[in-house]
Amino acid sequence: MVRITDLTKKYGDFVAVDGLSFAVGPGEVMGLVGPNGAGKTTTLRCLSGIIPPDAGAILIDGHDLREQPIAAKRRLAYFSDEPRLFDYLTVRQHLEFVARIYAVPDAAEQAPRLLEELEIADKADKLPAELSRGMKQKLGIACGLLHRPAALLFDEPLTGLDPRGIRQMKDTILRTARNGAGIVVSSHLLHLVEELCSHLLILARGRMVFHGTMAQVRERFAETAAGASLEDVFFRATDATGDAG
Amino acid sequence: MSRAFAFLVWHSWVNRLRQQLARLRRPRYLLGAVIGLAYVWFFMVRNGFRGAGPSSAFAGAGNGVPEEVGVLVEAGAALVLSALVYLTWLLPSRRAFLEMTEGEVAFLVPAPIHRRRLVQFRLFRSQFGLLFTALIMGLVFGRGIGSAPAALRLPAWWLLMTVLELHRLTAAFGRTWLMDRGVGPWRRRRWLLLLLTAWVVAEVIWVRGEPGLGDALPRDPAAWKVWLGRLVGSGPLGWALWPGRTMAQAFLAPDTIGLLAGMGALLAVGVGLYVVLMRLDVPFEEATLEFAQRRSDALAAVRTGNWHLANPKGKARRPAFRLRSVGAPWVALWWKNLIAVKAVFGSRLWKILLAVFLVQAVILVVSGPGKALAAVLGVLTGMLAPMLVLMGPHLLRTDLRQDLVIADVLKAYPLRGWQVVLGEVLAPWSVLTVVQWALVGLFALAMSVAGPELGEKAPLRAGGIWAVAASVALILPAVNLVSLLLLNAAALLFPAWLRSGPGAGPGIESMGQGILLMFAHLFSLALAMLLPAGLGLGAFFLAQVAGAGWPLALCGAAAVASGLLLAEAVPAFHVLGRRFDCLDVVDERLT
Repeated sequence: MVRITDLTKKYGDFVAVDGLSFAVGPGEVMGLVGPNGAGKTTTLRCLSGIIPPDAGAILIDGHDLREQPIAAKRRLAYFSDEPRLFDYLTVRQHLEFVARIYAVPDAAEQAPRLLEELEIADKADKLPAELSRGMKQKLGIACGLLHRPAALLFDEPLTGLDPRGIRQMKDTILRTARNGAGIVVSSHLLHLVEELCSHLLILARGRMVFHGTMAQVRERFAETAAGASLEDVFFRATDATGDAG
Repeated sequence: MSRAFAFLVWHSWVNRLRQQLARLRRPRYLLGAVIGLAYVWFFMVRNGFRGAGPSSAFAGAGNGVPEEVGVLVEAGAALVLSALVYLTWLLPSRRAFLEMTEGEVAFLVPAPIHRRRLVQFRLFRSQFGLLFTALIMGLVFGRGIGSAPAALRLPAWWLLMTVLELHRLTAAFGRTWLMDRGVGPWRRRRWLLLLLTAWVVAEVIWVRGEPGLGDALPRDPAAWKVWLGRLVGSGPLGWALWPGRTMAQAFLAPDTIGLLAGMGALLAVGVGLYVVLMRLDVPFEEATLEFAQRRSDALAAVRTGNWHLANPKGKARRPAFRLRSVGAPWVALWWKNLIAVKAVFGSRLWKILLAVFLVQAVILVVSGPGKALAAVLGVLTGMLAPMLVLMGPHLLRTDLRQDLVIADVLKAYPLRGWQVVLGEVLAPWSVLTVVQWALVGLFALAMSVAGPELGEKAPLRAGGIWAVAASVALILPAVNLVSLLLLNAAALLFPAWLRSGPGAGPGIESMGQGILLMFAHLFSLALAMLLPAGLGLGAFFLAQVAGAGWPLALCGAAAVASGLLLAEAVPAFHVLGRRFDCLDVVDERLT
């Protein structure tokens, strides 16, 4: 679903992402973790086509993001940490807008179903200013899921959510993965990653420190500490590059 | 405590000034500052300090301004300022609050400080702003009024501003004091309106009893001046206008003695208001916090260039048309921005515009030919259309200038850059064009109805008027499109010029940047129109040589010019689209 090869992104002399390569297959949920400034958000932004990479190839469901940006973006959904909504569109109008942008022929049936599922059907005629943080997040998810993307990118998906919202968000991610989508979740919340992800990628200073399944992570770091938690693994991996904290 | 407040105010001001000076290291701010300073110098300072000119002193004789006009201006100023004072007591329904920043609220409201001290802090902090406003007012209105020296006019303006601020606060606290004692806004309004009615009745009775006042209006200017002076200066109306008359003295006094007397009266009023304000101990903390949050949101909107979001109208708007889920995707952006236009300007404005147009059209149709009213309406409407060509694209910003802050969202959509630019520009373009067409149609209708009023020699008769209207209607959409494309190009190519960026406050450099941008836009528009205008002119003469009448030749010329402008717009969409595709959102935010 997502395959990147030698992705590099620089800001002036600063290398934010340095030769990153990985792949996320159907049904896989990959956790992207790393200290602040490791390059997680930059990687997700490059993957979603928001910022152009300086080098490397990005394939979304088989479509090269550079060569076929439209086809690639049609198969993609990006969820930023802060829901980015239009001030003057109601919840329903947001979905109508997204349906036209992504050309969703059955949007008229899909949209109410999604709103029901996410429990915001009663807010259909409200503006974003009238919604709580969690409701906005749900609207962002409804907009992202409407066109049935093959790859989903989540940047800190639990920011500002209440316990119920956190539960719903986790369920949504797992359900979408079970339906065959490839998912990348960037988060500082290691317990979330441990609970949701089948794979893990640890970044430090824009470079990949580790990539593999959760079982491989434990196997690899069990050599130094038996029964190590993901938190221990994270600090060992990033301390080795001198990036912790 | 006073030292702490002084420390906060002084260091905040100095640090802000330092920040603004540091910004001047960037060429765009330096250039903006130079242009802003030049504007202030040539249009304000130079005129403001030139001293009293021949048209000074409204009330004096032999100064070029008729005395009657001077009396009328004084009476008008007294009336407006008095109305301002009374409306401050009549209209507002909110509780009193102090205009504080979120930081000031967070540190000062929970601190062990008496409310009275917070009010004093607010008054003290407002002095910088009031001094600046007084300076601007003194410079703008300095010339032409009174013979007092400029050095005295500035403190007079400052005193006036301070008294107005004191009154605003005292009224707000007074209203809240009444509210807390069960006198709500409507009860307060009923009392005040009852008082007003009683006052009007007293005035009528007084005027009837005064010899010379209740008779017919005098026609002789000298007698008229005396009549007006008696009406507004004595009796119940005279007493009612006393606050406004006292304040007006600060800028309308004919000489130094008059100005000093006016300042003395203002000082006494200010001291009185301050004493009352300090005695009114009403809770204002919650309303102050709410205000601080609102202001913070508004400032964030203004700093990203979206001044119209500073006062968001929280109401869902119906879309202009039904959006189907399949079709050209850029239509979705057009649809979205049309909703934003309705939200920004409010549906009421469009309904009023439509009603005005319809009423005008009905008046014109039923008034019949040869009416002077039709000619006046025609000229006024005809003047509005070109004004909208220049101002419209700056007022209607529901395009990339508004959406650049969410460029990351737009870039994630499966759309080509040119589709984004097209979809974004279409909303202001279509709204502007429809309004202009309506104006041009009304202009043509009015001028056709007014036909005989224009005289026998007028070239714009019968079909000619409609030919001019058709030509203008043909060329306007193309001009609007190019004009909006230029402004969107500025947003894409120089985003930092349109957004002052985080941490940036208003300043002379921002004003200069705005002036520069406006002139650059006008210059680029003129440049873009040069070739189409030239070829259109050529087409006009060729058509006339070929034997076509001027109305037909004019329409042909407009079509040629319009076609060429549209031809210029097509590659512009692609160039801007490529620029949008390459836009590095993170980098652009750092500039």
